[in-house]
Amino acid sequence: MLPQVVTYLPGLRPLNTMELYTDTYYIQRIQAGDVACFACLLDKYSRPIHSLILKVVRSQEDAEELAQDTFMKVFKNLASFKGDCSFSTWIYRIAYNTAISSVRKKKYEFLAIEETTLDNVSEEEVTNLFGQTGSTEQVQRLEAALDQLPPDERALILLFYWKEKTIEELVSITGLTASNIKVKLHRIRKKLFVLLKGMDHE
Amino acid sequence: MSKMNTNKEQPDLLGDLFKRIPEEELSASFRSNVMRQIMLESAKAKKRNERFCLVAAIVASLIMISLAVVSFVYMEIPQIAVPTISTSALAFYLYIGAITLILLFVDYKLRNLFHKKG
Repeated sequence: MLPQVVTYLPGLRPLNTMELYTDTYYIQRIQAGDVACFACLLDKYSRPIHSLILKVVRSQEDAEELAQDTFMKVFKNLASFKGDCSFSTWIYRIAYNTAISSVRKKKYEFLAIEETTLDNVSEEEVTNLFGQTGSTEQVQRLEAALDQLPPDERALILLFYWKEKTIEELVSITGLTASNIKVKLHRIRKKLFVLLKGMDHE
Repeated sequence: MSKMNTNKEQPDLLGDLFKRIPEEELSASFRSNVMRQIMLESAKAKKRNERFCLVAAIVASLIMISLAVVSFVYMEIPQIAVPTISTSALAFYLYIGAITLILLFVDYKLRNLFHKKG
């Protein structure tokens, strides 16, 4: 039987190897003064956070800068993280707010779809369209349709489907109510359907 | 609305499509850039903390000194009377002191003489 590896850190209880890789452990170490441990959190979250920001702001340079801003905010406010939600949700909240604030300042143009058009779309049609064979081309079309959505709607649908956040987590990330999020997601799905249909006709 | 899978209880076709969207690659320098900024921020925070502690210590010391001065001078707490020495007593103390010094000097000389002879 292999001996259990135990790590001792001043001011912290000893931890075994099973606990070494939890976010809480790294946060405790950073708060105890081991700033280099932030690299572990960076390795874990930098790519998903950057990807989400890039999809929201649609600019490689801005996305990288905003991702850096996000991690700086995370580091500066780490003491205020009380564990009310998961660290992942907390970091996504900061990234979401950073990205949305940035796009609000820049006033991007996006396609407006009439409400009546959305009301005429049935859920069956949406399900059928999205249920079609998922080729690479379809993913590319989806990405093109996403690009035409307003940034906040794009962020919301990406968080829900791409980052697989639950409604409860979205409430914490966006600050919206659960019912509001459900309505928004429902309408965004229909918008995507209209946009994808429009691409078919082209 | 009710058919939308918002609670992730059932497999969602749109969700499957989204999962196939690839994550973008980050530039190689991203990690080092962020960590450099983090280290700089950490150093700044340490300096800020040190300065804050120093200022807090100075302020606390000044408050304590001020309180001590106020209580001693104006409130007369604790009530200590500084004794005044009369001139006649001073002459007596000087006389005793002088005798002590002379005796110590004589003792010193006699000891030297004794050690030389021995």
